[in-house]
Amino acid sequence: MTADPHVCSRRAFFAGLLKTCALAGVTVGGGLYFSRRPGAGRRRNGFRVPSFVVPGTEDAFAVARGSRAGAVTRAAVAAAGGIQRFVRPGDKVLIKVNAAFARPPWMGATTSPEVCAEVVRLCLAAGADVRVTDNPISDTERCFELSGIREAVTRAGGEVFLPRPEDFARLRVNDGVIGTWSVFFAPLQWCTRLIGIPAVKTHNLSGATLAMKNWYGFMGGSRSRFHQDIHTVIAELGAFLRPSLVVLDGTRLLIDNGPTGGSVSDVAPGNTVAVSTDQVAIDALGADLLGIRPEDVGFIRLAEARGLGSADYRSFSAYREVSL
Amino acid sequence: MNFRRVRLVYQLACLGLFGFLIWATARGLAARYPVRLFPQMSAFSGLLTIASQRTLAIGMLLGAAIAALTLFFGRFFCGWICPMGICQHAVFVLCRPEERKERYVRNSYHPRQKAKCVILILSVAGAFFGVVLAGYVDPLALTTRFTVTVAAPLANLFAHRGATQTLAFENTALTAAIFLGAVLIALRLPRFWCRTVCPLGALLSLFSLRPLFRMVRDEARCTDCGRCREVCQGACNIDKDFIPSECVLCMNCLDACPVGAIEYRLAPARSHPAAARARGVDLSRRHFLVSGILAAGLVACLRNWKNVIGRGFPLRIRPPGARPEEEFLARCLRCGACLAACPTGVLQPAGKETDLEGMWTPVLKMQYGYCEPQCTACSQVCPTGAIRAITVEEKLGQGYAKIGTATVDRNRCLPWAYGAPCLVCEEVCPVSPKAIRAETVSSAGAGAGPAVSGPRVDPRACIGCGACEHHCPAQDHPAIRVSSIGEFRSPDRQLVLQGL
Repeated sequence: MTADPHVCSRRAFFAGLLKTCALAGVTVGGGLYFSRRPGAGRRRNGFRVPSFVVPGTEDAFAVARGSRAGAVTRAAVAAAGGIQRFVRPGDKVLIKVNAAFARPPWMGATTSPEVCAEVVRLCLAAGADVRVTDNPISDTERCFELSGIREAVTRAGGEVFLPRPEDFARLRVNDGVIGTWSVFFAPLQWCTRLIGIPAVKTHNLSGATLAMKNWYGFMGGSRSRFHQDIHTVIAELGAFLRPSLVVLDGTRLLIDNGPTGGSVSDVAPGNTVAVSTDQVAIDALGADLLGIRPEDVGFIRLAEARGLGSADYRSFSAYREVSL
Repeated sequence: MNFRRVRLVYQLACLGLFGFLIWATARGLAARYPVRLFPQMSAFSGLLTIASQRTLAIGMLLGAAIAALTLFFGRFFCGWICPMGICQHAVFVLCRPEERKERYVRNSYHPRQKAKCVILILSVAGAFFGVVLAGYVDPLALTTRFTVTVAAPLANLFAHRGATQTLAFENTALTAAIFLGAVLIALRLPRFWCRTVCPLGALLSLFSLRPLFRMVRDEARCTDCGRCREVCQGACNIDKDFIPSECVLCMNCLDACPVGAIEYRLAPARSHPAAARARGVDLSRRHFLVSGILAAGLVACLRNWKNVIGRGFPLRIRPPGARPEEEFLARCLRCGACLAACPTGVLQPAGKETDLEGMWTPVLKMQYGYCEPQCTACSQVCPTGAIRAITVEEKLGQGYAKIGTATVDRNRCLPWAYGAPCLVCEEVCPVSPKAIRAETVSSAGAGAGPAVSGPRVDPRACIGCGACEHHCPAQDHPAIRVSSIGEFRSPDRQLVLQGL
């Protein structure tokens, strides 16, 4: 068979067509793949963080004391009116723990796994979908691993949500010191209820790290700059994030060498869990636990002056205290 | 029986295992899987460590076992196991020339294949005088390092759709150039690296000069068609004067022979005429001398003996458990397993932090992370014991954790230089009691504002983990920096008097 070199056979035509299409597909696909660049903190985002406070629960305040972390947590929540007051069936609950450092639980640098697990179980029993998160200072994976939080939460039936670069975006936080900042916004966009479980620790610069400072974990970027005006920043964070509930984990206290600790002598038993929606009151109670006078803590004074709450928690009408 | 197919299955399995073990290393699964398996197969690196330090990690005896088996079966490692060989093999198979004659020529023995023996002699002689260059030429170190520092970050970039990279390594250009160069050259010259460069191949070829089992060609049945040589991976001239030490046991000839004249079986006795026709490595005295002189020159160029060790290199901060520098350099393969294992990414392949000899050895660069006190991942995956396997208790209790000392640069430090509050370094310091303590800055705070405190380091308490440097707000050139002074492993590089 003699073929005219200028005439394309049917087979060659289809082969060429197929190759061209494949090449075009790969090029366009690759372009699309890379053009959908996630923000990684660079993108501006119109999302505004809502207040997660459940109407009618503003005055809730309860303290429980005892040595068994799980039972104390349950008792504190029950004394504040039960979890049903704060979480309804179908709610998406985001729990912000303090998993800032990759340290074992006995060092007291992170929220105790027992308290986390108990709150997760309570929320699940109330019919909610639960995710636990933090954006720690140390390597994220190892923080959740070593602190025992991942294991405790997973066993309790909750889900641990670890930050990915695409979960951050630059948001307008306020007109104050923070201004526009890279915020770990994705879980906040997902949830309908926000629960904070701060640990009770001393802090080298701010005096203490408690409920309001726990919201550091929703900040990305180079937040080490916050130290330059730390009290104002903590008060601004308290205004930025209004939780449905704060469960203060005072089962053990980091009384020295905070916020990292590192030795047995830095930790003291606290045997306390406090529950409230008033972050200022919770922080005042935490300061009392650490032996610091609340009026000596700058961010508590600033937050009270901003009207975020009251440090005089003992005078609350709803104040309840139970001992186990 | 299709020998080629059996070999292919083994090769793919080995390549898969190789990749899997690196993945397991990076995922912190060192306790569950034998992640050190592949680098420990290098008899070449083991030999260099012995030549240099008269010591060897037990695991590296795996290389000796492979060399011993080579005495019986030939270079099965090169053809069946080595990931570097597999990559070249694959490239050639994909782009094999059409012309039979072309294939025949390319797969014929070439005298330049002796070069690998010269490289071997050069390396061993260098090691004997204390310069270990395994990282440049050891195929297992090279493939592992390429996978860890070039391929894995690329995969990571794709995983994040090109937006951000959570995995990043410095100083990878030369690694990529050597590996990709070696693989790409195989397009024109099949298995160029294995035949001409590879010192591990050269070492194994010395063990397979007269292997017990080898390819044997029945000259009576052979029709001299040459098809065996067209498909030969080792360029061992199977159809003429067979060179067993070049044969990589690819088994292609067994399948290619149309009359079944080639068999892999017990080698004929020395008196047998067929045995006489098999050649060994012919390396003349001149070659030997030249490589010896080259090695001596290399040693002189690369290191003025001990003069640079113990001086200089303030940024040569080694991971906890690293042996004293001499021994560390002799043992370290530059395979990069420790880099893959490090959870914070602080471990980086060295470039300008040391010299040419220390290229790609692990150093801590605090821009990327810091050494987590509760972690000993790097020491658990080191195949050669260059980083001693230590537990967290040993690390913290016996002093291994001390890898350097932090120094405050008061000219850049926010409180000291600008009178602004900061103390992030004190906050993140993991030592208890903290190695960084606040001290009132006298110049600031004297006016109206509240007193400002600045950091002061206690050089005896500081372990050099770099948490302070990593988190310092003066990110580009941190105001608190770690240098290797005071590291636990060097009794002579100390800053403070013990009893102070």
